[in-house]
Amino acid sequence: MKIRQLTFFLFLWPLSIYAETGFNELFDTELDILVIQADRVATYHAEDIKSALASTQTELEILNQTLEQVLQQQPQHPILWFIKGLNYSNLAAYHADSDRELSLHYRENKQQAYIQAMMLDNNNSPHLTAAIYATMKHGLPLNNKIKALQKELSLGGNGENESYYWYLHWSNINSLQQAGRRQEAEQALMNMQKEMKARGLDQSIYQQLVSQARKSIETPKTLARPVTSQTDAVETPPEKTPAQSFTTQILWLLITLSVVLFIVAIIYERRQHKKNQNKR
Amino acid sequence: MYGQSQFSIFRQRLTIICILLISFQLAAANNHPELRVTTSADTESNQAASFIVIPKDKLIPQGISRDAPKDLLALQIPFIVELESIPANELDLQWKVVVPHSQYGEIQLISKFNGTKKHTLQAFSWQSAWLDAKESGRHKLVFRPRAHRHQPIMYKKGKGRNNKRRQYGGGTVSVDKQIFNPRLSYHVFVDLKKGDQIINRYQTLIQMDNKDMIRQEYINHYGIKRYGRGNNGNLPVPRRDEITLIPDRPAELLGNPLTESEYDLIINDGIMALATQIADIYEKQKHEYQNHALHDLNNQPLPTPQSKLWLSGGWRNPERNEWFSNATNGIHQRGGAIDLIPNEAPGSRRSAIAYWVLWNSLQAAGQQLQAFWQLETNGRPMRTDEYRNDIEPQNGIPDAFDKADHLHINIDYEPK
Repeated sequence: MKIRQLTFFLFLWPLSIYAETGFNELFDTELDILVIQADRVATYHAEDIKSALASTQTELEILNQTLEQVLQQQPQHPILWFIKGLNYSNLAAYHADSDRELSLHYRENKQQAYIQAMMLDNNNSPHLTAAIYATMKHGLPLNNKIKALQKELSLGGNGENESYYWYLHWSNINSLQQAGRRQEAEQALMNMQKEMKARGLDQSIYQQLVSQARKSIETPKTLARPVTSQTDAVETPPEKTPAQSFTTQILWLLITLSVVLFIVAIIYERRQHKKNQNKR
Repeated sequence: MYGQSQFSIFRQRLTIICILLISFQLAAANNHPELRVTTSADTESNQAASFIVIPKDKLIPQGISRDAPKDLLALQIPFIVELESIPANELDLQWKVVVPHSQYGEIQLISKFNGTKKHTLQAFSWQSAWLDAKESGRHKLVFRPRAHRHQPIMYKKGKGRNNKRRQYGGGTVSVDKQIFNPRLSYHVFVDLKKGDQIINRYQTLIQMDNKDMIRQEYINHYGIKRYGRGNNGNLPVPRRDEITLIPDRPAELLGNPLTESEYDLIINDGIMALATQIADIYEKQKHEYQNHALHDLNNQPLPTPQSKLWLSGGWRNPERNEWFSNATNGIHQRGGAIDLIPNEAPGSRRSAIAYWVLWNSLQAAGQQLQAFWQLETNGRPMRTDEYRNDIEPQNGIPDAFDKADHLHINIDYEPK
């Protein structure tokens, strides 16, 4: 491995200095350690790299080792965990065609690193940004994806316009509905409406998105869109939440009672009718 | 009872008289029949008593549209405010200029009148001495606006964590925001005095209109150093006739009317036609897939999306662009790019299918569009392998369409 590292430093180091995509710019961070490596990871994440395949693999693996070493010294650093996950994502993409199993392995590592970053972000700085959450949400298990999505939302989203933000609300509501968390979805819809009103946008074009988000909650479960991802499928949502099943039970009870009462009423009516006839 | 009613009528009449008096005063002040004002070399700008501030040390190109003739901005001409008729010899006169925000003043006086400056926390003002008939050219005040620069000194995306401004970040989504895109203005007054009695006061307002505020944004961004890697600002300044009213959005599209800018104006370098064209080919592609379904990577037929496209972005004024984007010279500022979203919940399967259909419709249209397009996610274009890979989620749809958060498309500025 030392020879490979030496090769990297001799031949590829100049490339890393002139990385095209700046990590701090892409993810709105102010990272001041491992900046060159972070830029390189971001470049692999954001661009088509036209270098020899073997050298790409070598560089990605060396970046991985470097990140591991630094994380041993700073294990509570949320952004470093994100970079580590991002590099795993690059490795997964690199091996996607040639070695499916290895690619899946890296993908799982990526998910773990992202989940770790999100967990650490609660109590440690430097904090993750909306741009980081927007990147992490793709491909996470559904409940983690929802966490990332909600965090991005609370940080104002990472779009280039107003529309992105309101669509993000809809995405959140839709994901909650998919996860079978209907009450939370309804609450999220109310929050969206409230926020729109507070910002004076309740008569704006974005009001259409509220109606559409509401429709996606009101869609009966049988017509709801299928689960979108393999990772989504891993976390099978509970069939019904306790509140939902309680409501359903009461509904069934009422229907049964109504039918029974209806039958009793008919029988009673007939008996009365017969009695009256007998009297005559 | 009767007395109260009479009082009420009296109060109404008094109010009407007051309103009329104020209206007359305003009309008199605004029409400034006695003052002639020259503010700009541009005829339209001059008619509106509007202006731009052109730095002395820069040669700045103008003409931003693809086919617009390119030349350089003319040098700043000084503001000239003059009385239409020469005042009688027995009258003295006094000029006063008020700059309503201390940050935009001072002025650079060219007239050789003695005067005094006054700085307050809010404003700057300059006042001449009383000028008698011996003072030659006293009926004419000549001055220049102070140079106006981009703030902060570098271009850096403004929007950061929690929607709050990043450290040293610039840009704003508002209009007339101090330090970023203020509506610069100068109130000019002239008092005429006979003996000790002021017999007349005339005033005028020299103020940037919306078109010139937009042009000033481009001037401020020209040559600006970009924070991080990338080119410095190099977009030409639009001419006034390149800034127009916002056209209606094409009927087949939802969303914004080609811009989110708060100026109620737009630079439309072909985006209206482009948006119409894309909406049309997307609808045709959907229709085609209704007859011959699109198949996923596992050869399973996919449902055809029913949703329309949502126009999420179009022209951006430079300050808005700086708030949202790292792209100093982004084509959105030229009025040559739009962003589109399928009207589905982002991240859903329906959204992914719609992006795929949209992408295929564009690929099929190919060169006839004379445009460049790319799917983007989180501020970056998709990589080539993402159009091939189906890693996450593994759902039969290429990752690019699962991850996309908008389609960017711009007119081709360098047609082959």
